[in-house]
Amino acid sequence: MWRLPRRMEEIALLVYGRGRREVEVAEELGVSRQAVNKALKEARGRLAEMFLSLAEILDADIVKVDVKRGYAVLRLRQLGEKAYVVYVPQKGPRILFERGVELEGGRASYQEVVEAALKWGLIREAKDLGKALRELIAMMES
Amino acid sequence: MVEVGGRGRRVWALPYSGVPALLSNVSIVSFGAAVLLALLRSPVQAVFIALGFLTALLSLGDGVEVRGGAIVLRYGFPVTVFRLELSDVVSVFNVNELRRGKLVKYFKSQLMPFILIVLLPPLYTLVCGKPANPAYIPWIILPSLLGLLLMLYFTFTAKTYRELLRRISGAVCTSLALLGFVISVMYRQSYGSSIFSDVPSLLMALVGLTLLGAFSAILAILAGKRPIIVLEDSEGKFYAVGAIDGEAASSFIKLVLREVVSRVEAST
Repeated sequence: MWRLPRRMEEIALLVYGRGRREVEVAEELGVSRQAVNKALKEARGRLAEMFLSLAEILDADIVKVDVKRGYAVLRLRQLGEKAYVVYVPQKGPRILFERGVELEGGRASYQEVVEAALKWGLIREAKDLGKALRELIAMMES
Repeated sequence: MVEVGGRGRRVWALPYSGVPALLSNVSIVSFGAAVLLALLRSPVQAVFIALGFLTALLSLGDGVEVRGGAIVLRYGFPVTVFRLELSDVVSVFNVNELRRGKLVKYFKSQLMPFILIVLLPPLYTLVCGKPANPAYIPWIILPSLLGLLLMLYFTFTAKTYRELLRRISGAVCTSLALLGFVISVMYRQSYGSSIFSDVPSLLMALVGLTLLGAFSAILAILAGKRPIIVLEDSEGKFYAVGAIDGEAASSFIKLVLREVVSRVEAST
């Protein structure tokens, strides 16, 4: 439930992350355009389900969900602070807590989130981890 | 078909996209023009008022329903005239909760009528000159003030807008009192007598000043308080839904996501 099938993920990242056309991706992967379209629809549905489940588990309100770009912004009811969720390919959703990012923005454990954000096309570069995280959160907050 | 929020409506469609947006824009400009035409005592004023009311009723946001996996936004009063159907939602968010969420980013065309009604009074003054009776001044300022407040509402984040209104509310009250004083001085200069001796002019000025204050207060109270939820479909078009409070907004977002999930489940 917490991960997309590899092929589906690959298609979603190519179309939504890199902005490739469905027809090009279909040719590249040797499948029909309908298959690509179906995979994209299913990926969106699964991501929506993931973010909904996470909101339930964390007892959070959903502030924003973008199933085309694999992320969500939640507000934790108990703490009142925000949590940023990014779907990391082949690993599943990863959560960044608002206060955690402010305090430990440079921590290496955030690397995979930043790399995933690059793949989804959420940020442009990730040379400086702290800067990339700030850019990622600013994007999610706009 | 499921009516979202049931009888006590907790979410409603906002006319920021498609034909309802166009009609709502026509309505705003018509009312702005009608106020100024009233000063010219032009018979065309009635046409603008009628057009304003008609387009406002046609574009008035009604309920939101979920039908066959699609979100349907209904517009029109007393009967639904327009329906906008969103079958493939890819993004949904409460714009008031986002630190950098500005409505203008998604609904640029909504700025047009606001800019127009801000510009109408200066254009009016340019073409018709200063009004002979200073009691008309609040009526000339009215469209500009409303247009400006609405423009700021669309271009600022909800938090910044609330903060701005909080800070300027005192200044607006002082300005209205000052404007009343200026009108009475100008009246004396123009007619050589006190405005209190001319009841119709006094009433005209008082109603104008009251409307200026009332509209500013209504905008200050309502704007930024009611969450606005933005939905994006797979074609990149944006739609807006208003909610009565944060709880209703959150429930609606979850409902939309459940629809995205159930739609996919139904097709596979």
